[in-house]
Amino acid sequence: MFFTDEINKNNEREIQEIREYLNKFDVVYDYPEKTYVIRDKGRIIATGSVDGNIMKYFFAEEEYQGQGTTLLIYNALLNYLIANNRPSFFIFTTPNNKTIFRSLGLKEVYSTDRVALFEGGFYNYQNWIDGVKAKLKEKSSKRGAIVMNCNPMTLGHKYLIEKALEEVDDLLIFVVEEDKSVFPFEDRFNILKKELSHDDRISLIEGGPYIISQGTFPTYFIKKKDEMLDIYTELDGKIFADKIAKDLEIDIRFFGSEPTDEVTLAYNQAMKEILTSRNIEIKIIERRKLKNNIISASRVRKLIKEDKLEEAFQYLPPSSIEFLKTHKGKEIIRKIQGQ
Amino acid sequence: MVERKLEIKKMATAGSLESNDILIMISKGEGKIDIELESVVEKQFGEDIKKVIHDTLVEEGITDAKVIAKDKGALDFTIRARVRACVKRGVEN
Repeated sequence: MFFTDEINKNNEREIQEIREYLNKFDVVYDYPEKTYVIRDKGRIIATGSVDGNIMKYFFAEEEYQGQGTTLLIYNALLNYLIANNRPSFFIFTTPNNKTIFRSLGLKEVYSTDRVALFEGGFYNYQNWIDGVKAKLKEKSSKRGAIVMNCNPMTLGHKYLIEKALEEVDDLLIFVVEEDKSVFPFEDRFNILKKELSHDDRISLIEGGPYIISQGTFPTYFIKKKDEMLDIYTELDGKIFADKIAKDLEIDIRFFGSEPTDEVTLAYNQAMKEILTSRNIEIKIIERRKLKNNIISASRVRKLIKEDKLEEAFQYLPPSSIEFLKTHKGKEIIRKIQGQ
Repeated sequence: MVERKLEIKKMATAGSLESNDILIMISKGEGKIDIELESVVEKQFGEDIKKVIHDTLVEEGITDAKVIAKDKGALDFTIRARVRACVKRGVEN
């Protein structure tokens, strides 16, 4: 009979122990919110962690496999999530664990050769996509899609949307829902809504958990950084192409050009390959410039940080400026400026 | 008999995924009892298991809940015990 133990993050010895254990599987221990282990004669033989609503780092010693260790870890993590009122969760694991997680009654969202994504709890892909579908009008012409974070919305985003609308009369804008941005999702979404509500060619969609962002992708194989980006892009691209685009009948996806950031450049390139191989058109739109500076949300945040508000406003549409002048907006400005 | 009516206030679980057990997860419903079941013996006993869960909920005074059940071949009394435990946890504040 095995029992699960929590890793005490204040205990140097335990941290060292789990660090060494994960190292064997090429994973760097990054202080997840909660980590459970199973020990046999004092030695770690299985583990699993949770961060937010993501379960990850499931590993077990080969000689102990088939003794229900993964199940015990899963139960412990599940009870932790439920006790903390998180109704749905995702599991990132390696494809060789697929059978185990299927037998735990979890739903497979998507798997590539290198990573498998499962989901469980009270919310699932089908609910989400049905909800999105219910809000959309009947498809009548070519349908396009853009994925945006808009942290905050700039004139660059607006330009990208206008350019896309020259190509299609039916445009879905997915707003990245995950809240790792300075501007909270709700505000980012509302700014867009205000700015674009007059145009019935546009449907604003809450990105949900299926527009995966790099922030949530666990740092598997972190020793090989390039490979990780590659694995992430493949999963993200294929979920979009094989599930979302298929279910929502999307014909073309638009991207903003990326002249500086190498990571995004590589991401866009890989996405292009995946989408075109599945007969989804892709169009990269040149970013708009203002006095030779590319308009970007990161530039706006930089200007805000330097307290150059008037200059920052030159890059923003009316709804963003209006928001920054509200009480909540001022608070965010203070936050960016680190006060 | 005095009719009780209870409301699920928060998410709760009971049971496990060990053989001969069942894992019950419960949360607020959308006006009715909604049961999602996955079982190793779904073909043979799926409807019976759902009925046991449903009846136990009603006995406990629950008429509005979303239930997710992962069954590993639990017997009826196990299912009833797990559902009752789950309800007790879900109605507490």
